[in-house]
Amino acid sequence: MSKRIKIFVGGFGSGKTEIAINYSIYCRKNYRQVAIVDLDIVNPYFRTREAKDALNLKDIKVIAPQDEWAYAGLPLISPEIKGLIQDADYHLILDVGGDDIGTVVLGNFKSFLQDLDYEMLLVVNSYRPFTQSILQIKQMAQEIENTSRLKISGVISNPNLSIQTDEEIIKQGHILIKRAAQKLKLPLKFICIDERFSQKLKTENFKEAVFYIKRFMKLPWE
Amino acid sequence: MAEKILMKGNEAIGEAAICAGCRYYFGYPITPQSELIAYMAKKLLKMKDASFVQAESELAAINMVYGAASTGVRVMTSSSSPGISLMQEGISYIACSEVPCVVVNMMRGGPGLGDIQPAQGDYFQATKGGGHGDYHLIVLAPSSVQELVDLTMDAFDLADKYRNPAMILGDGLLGQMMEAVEFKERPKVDLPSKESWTLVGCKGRKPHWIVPFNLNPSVLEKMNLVINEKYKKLKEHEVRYESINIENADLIIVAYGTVARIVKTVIQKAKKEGINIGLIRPITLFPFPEKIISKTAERIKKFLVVEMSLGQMIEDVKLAVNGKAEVNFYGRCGGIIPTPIEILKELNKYL
Repeated sequence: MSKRIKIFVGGFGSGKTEIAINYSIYCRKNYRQVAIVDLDIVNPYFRTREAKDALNLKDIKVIAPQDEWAYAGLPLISPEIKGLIQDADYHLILDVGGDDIGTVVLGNFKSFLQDLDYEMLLVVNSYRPFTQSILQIKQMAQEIENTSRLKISGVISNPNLSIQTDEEIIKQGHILIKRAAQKLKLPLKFICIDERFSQKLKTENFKEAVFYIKRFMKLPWE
Repeated sequence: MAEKILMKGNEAIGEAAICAGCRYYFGYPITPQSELIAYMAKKLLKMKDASFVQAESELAAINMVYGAASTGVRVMTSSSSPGISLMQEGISYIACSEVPCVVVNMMRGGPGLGDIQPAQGDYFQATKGGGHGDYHLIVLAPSSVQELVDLTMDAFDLADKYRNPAMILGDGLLGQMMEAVEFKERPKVDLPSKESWTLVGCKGRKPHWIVPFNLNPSVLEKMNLVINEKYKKLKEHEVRYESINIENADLIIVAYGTVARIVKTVIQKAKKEGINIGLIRPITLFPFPEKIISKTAERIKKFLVVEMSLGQMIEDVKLAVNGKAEVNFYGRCGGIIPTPIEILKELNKYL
């Protein structure tokens, strides 16, 4: 995965934000200049901006609406983003809002992005409404491509039921997502697994690369 | 659909409503509950004998609900605090006309336009009437996504049973958070027939009337008394609460919804410090679980009410305790959620 710009798209609540945050941390281990862009114009809570301090500590640049605007629920897009897209020194992670609606924002950058070194990855959780079958996943992919006017280049498998996830849930979900990726004729880039399963579900259990996820978006009682 | 699925609270309400037979939804989007209206649009527009309208305003939406409810169908609307305020006139009319419907309020910070973060500042509005006149809503306060599912289904049954509007009172956090849920088969509930009052065409019979007024005060008083009888029955039969560790607690916390969830963590943390905390969590806010609070206050002399407001439910707790125990308060507002540590610190003051 060496493309300079990675765009995470997917169904609403598919896990894009957690994956994008974790991926930016992983990316920072390999590259000096990493930035993550919170392009979520749909969700009012649980957004990348909430992990800003943790990411800044790791020397990752976070582009997100600032201060009082962070809570405004307005579709704010910083002019800085266009600059970063064109800055060849930066490894850039774009965390886009959910569904086709959340992807509308990408239209803004299409003319910049199309000739650059980017890939757009579809995050799929087969336990979410509207991506529970191969047919639904295909439809989601199509709607996102239509709205963003960009091509999806790979699938990220993220099968989970949040804290109620178990190993069987992960394995079963992954099988379905893999089949969906085959139908879409897209490579399955990696499977995301909560780090708490790292002892039970090892990389050798899967044909695909395994990416262990640490949860950043916690609930107030956790 | 018996297997588990990962849902946002707002989506879960939508699916639960559809499972309960709701085919009519009218609403106007507002953060932090817009996923619910989006979910209903996605689902209902594809269903037969269903209708979804994004109304031009909350006023229009609640009156569309009134119209649909008058025909006896299961109908729902939803909003968040400022939008619910706009619906109050319609809700009062619906209560007076005794037609069942479900209204969802995923509360956010107030007053005024407030903000879009979670809050519980609409307790008074929800439980004391909200609009004008002598009426109450049946108010259910879930505290998990699964409970949003179960209570939404119950809300339709209760509304039908009592011919009274029912409200799901959640907050932005419950609407936005994701948890695994199941939509289980539910046992059939015996509900009264709607035939005697619905407006479905009166060919061959006398017309029915659904009216939210009577200009003759003695008749209107009678209408009020009829409605009031239902509230007495609700208090007798429909009170629900959860209690944890109330037998030998050093202090009882009363909290609902999101806050009750946080308090459960507080209980565990306190236990490690050797402090024994109990919780009474009202699940129905109207009818309010006064009996259990009153009974508990005979043995345990320290109460703490925690809310995401500056003190609203505490008034009902005080009425139930009726001077038998000391009732303290801790609250955050404006969209701030209290942390377990902050509550733990607070309750230490009273031990």
